[in-house]
Amino acid sequence: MRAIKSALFIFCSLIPASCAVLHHVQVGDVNDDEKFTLKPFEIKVSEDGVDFEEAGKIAKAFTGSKAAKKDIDGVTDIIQLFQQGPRTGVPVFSETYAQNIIHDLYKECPTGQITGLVSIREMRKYPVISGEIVKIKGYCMIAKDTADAGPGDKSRGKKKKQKKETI
Amino acid sequence: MFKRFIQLGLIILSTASCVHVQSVSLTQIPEKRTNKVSASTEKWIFFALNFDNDYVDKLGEEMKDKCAGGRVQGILTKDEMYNYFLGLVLKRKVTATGYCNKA
Repeated sequence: MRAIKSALFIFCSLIPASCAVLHHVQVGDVNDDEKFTLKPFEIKVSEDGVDFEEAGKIAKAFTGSKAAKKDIDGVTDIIQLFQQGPRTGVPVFSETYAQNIIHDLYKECPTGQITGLVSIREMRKYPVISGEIVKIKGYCMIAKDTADAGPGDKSRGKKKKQKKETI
Repeated sequence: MFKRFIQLGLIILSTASCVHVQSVSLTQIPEKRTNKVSASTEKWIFFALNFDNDYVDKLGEEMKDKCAGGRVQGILTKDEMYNYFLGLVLKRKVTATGYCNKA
């Protein structure tokens, strides 16, 4: 009895802990040009996923009647029919959750010069539900003269004007 | 004798690893392909309990350090999974290989 209780305790304490599953990694081109300062950034988007197959298995384990088990099998089979095809992770309710990454990238790096981009597709797995994550890490390239000047420095503009006048 | 043979077979089988390729990707390959650089990172996972994938994050920085002041192109990223002891112990390895060109 004590062994069962301790096994149950270990199982229950593991439930809130998530398992991290890595699906895909890609490293982009790296440009370490000395003319640029590299500013690191990280973007993360996620969506909740629901594993109906696992939910069905758990429901079957908790039910005693054979008829109910058969019904659960039928329901999970129908759901599986609608969720066919290649995929990473478990199905989500909104498949467009990663579409705005490009806008987030632009916000993080308005110059558009990005290097060392590491794209990660991962999943945080809990019982039945999961967090489907797309993470992007990289460096924004900022020209050293711009970085030195800073946003409040207006002397660069003045210098340009002076140059124009001399021409 | 036969029992020992089976035991030995089981030991060999459980220590040998099976390798799976999880994902592969490649970026634009440069014209000059002489200086090859490579970076890799790995993680051991016991009983399928893995709580983070942070080991991958350092890959970009490692590639940058390998080609300081230059440009790495044609990066092949390979994500592999090694299976030991009949799947009880896993090793995830991500390798990035590319060509470093300095101006």
